[in-house]
Amino acid sequence: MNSAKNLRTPMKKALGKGASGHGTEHVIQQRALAVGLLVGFVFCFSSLVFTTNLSYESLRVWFRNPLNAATMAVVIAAGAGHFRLGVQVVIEDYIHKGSTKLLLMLASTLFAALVAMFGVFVILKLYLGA
Amino acid sequence: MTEVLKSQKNTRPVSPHLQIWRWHVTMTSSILHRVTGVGNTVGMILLIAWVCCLSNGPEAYAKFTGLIGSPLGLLVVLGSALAISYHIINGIRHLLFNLGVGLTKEVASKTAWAAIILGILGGIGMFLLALQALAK
Repeated sequence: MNSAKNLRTPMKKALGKGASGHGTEHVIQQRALAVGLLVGFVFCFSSLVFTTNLSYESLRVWFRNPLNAATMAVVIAAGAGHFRLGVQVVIEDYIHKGSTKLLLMLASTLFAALVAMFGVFVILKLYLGA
Repeated sequence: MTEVLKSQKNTRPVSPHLQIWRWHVTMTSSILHRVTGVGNTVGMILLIAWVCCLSNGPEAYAKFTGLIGSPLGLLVVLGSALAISYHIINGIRHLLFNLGVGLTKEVASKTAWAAIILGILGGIGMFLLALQALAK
């Protein structure tokens, strides 16, 4: 190896992560959240339409079940994580002005955090029957 | 696109953009995936509003169902069901792509059509299942 031409250390090459050393986690997290969301959504939707009549009373009973409440909380939290990553890609594709991009990224992240937190709190409230 | 070329005095090679490509179905499935994804982000507000109203008591829930049961509300629900259904089915297609399955032009085009058709049928199915639950 010609050290005069190549400044990369052997360790850098062995790790094979390039310049930034990160980035793949975005793709992996998006898929992992997608799988969780898929399973959770199918469970919640089918359970709701087949075991309840979507009335106030039957839904309150549905949410008193810890498995139902937990799965719905996962759907909301994983959904928020999944859409935050998705919206980030959309913003990166179409917005090229630094300040606008920063603002939109901040807004979408805060929105996702709010949706996840608020959703989980409401599910908890429903589960506790308050 | 022509404006872009003119502004660049036709000197710089420009990568083919939407207006230049001949339409193909995988393009549509990709665009739909993005559109329904953003739609589902907005639809998440609906889900949050639903559980929130439910937790606030029977009156709040009645108000919510009144709004959702209006013609416009039902249209939003149907649209949301279609968006969720398509995004899930095409999402599974994407997960299969990630496993290296179905990446040839022919298979990708066929599964794109399948995702669009199944997505529409699934969305209508979800809507009908919800109506059928309400009728119980």
